Amino acid sequence: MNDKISGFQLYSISIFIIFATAIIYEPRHVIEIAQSNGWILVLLSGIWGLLLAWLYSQLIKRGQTGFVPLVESLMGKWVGRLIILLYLVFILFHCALSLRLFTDFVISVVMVVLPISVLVAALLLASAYIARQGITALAQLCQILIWVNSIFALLILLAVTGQVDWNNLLPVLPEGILLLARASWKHTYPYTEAFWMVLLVPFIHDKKRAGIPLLVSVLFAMFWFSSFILLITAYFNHYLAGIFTFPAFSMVRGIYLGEFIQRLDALLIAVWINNIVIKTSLLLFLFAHTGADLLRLQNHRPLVLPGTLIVAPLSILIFDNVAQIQNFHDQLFHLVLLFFTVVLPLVFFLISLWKRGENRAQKMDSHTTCS
Amino acid sequence: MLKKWTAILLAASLGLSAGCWDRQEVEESFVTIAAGVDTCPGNKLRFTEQIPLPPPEAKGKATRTEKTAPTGPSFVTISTVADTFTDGARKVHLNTPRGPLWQHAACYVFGENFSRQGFAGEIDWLQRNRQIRKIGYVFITRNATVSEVLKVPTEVERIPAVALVSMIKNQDTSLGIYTPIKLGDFLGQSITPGIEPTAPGVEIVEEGGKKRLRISGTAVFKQAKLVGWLNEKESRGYRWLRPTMIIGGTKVIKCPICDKPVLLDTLRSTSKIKAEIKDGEIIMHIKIREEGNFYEQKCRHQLVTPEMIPILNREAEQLIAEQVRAAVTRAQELDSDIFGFGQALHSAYPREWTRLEEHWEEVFPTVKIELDVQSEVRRSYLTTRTLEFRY
Repeated sequence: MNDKISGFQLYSISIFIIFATAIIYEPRHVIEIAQSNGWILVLLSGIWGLLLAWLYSQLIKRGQTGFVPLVESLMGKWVGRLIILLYLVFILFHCALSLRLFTDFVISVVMVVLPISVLVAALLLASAYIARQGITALAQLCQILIWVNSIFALLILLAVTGQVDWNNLLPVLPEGILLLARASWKHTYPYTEAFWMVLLVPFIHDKKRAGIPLLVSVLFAMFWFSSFILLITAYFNHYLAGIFTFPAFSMVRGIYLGEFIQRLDALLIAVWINNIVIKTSLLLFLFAHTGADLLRLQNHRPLVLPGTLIVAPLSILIFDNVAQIQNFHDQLFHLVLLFFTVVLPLVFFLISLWKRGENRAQKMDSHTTCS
Repeated sequence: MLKKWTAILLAASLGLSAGCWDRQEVEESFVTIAAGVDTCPGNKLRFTEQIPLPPPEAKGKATRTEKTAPTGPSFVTISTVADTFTDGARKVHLNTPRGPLWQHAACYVFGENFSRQGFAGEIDWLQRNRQIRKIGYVFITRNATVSEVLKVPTEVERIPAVALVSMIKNQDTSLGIYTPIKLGDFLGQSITPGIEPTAPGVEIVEEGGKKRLRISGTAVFKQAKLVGWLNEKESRGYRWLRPTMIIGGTKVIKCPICDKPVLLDTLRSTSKIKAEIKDGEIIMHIKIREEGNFYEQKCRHQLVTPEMIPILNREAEQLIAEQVRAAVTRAQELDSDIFGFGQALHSAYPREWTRLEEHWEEVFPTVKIELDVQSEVRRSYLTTRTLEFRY
């Protein structure tokens, strides 16, 4: 069975995981900080994102047989295993958090009376089924849905364009770009989600050229984020946009073109449902696959169900209310994510460079001794 | 040969066994949408029935493209005087050429005087009649007779009975003051020891020279007699103790900083009543678990924050507890166990209940309650911060 994923599939998965939850909560956060220049802030953050995509592509090149062997070889067997264990815990937490962020959106504004447990169960059942099918099925699904999402998102953006007031984007950079550049690192975290592609190493068809789909996915994510935030700000102005919990959703609800094009919220919700199902499936698959590697299991499938059973109650119990969610998302989440997707990968990369240098030196020594 | 005769017999039986024996042709029937009963001088009952009329365009004069607003009457209300409910219902035939279809009856309205006299023995027909479905809603009139209530034309909904049902259902999920009750539950609670029924009241109000129907108060029954009414606050308190899950409703609390009103809505709420006998005293432990969303504020303070939400939760808990206490106090004043405390005692202490059941009406006013209310604000819809106006 061919279980390799192509460059386009890698790009599709990467953009899905970058977008899934960030598009729901990040616009408000960015607009609150950068006001009418939020769209520039996400572009600046994207530059960090491009650098990180390069870092991840280097790790993919080095981890030929998989993420677990790579970490074990770099950090030693036991420290490596401990780090992998931390990653497994974080993947489950991240999966539960993403699910909660999305379900909270749905229950806040779409299906208010629906018990959260029912929605979580429905989404997790679908995601667990996809995760059990394996990465090939997931990649094929992404390959199809990326077109659906892109077309829907483009339609929404085009429809909004006719109703915006471009003056709301003024003034542009009133205090210079440096102030925004300083704040940009904090908003890099959506792009750091591309790190999860490193855990897919054994399945990537062309590891040497994996950097291209990763870089392209970050570039496209920059385009989409920036466009959405630009139009949200132009549509509402930054005072009002910063008050909405889900500004993208509020903007789409306001579309009213030609007296008949309206109520496009269904398109946005469809896009977001696709996003969250893909993200949850991928995180469940990564947990099962990495866990199976750590436990030296032949197959990832036995670990999908336990992972699902942990994520379900965790996603419901993790927060009591929307204020706690926002507080955590705005204050802490990026730090936790940056630790796992920037700090640790950077350490792996530096150690790999150091070890490679050491190997070269040893080879040179042995060559000199022989001659 | 046997097969052939069996086949002929079966084929012939098809013609005889078709279900036409109890047929009631639509052309010969009318739909009863509401029925009610009231007192009448001379120890008689006044039976009232409401029949919706087809809209004018359905009479074949207007085509689909020539739709006009219905101008004729949309319903007719017929009253008869009789000795019994059934007699009254059948006397309607003296006024109408068609027979009633009871299956669609949406509400049952009992007059206030009739209810005060007591309905024991009077509404046996409602339970016995196979055509009456027990899912219609019960209402009690206030300061008006049944026929007066059912004759008030309603504007948005053309038929008063349908309007009444919509009003009680919609207020339950949006406002959450009064508790709707279906005929089956009303009759069931009337005969079950340890619980008494209630029903929402309906009155006629005049606004700008026009008569309107308004849901008002909760009628409290004791031994099949109306003994009093719960006001709005008490009705809310009674609703919190409904045994089934509550969906919808509002709570108006005060802003912890400036005392201005803050509205929280209720998504769902459940309650449990557990009886305990301690040192000869009966205590009802009432547990209420409610969750809802932040909905509206009149001040500019940022209230949807991790620090403020627990304070709002405590405010909401206090409000719910206050409403429940008010309802219990009023029910004890009226000596009517509308909460089913007796049933809770029966479940926990069956032996003691057999001893107490006979004089429960003396014991009920002495029952103490201990409240454990937990309220949680979960979300805040489209915004978390309030608009910051420049004033």
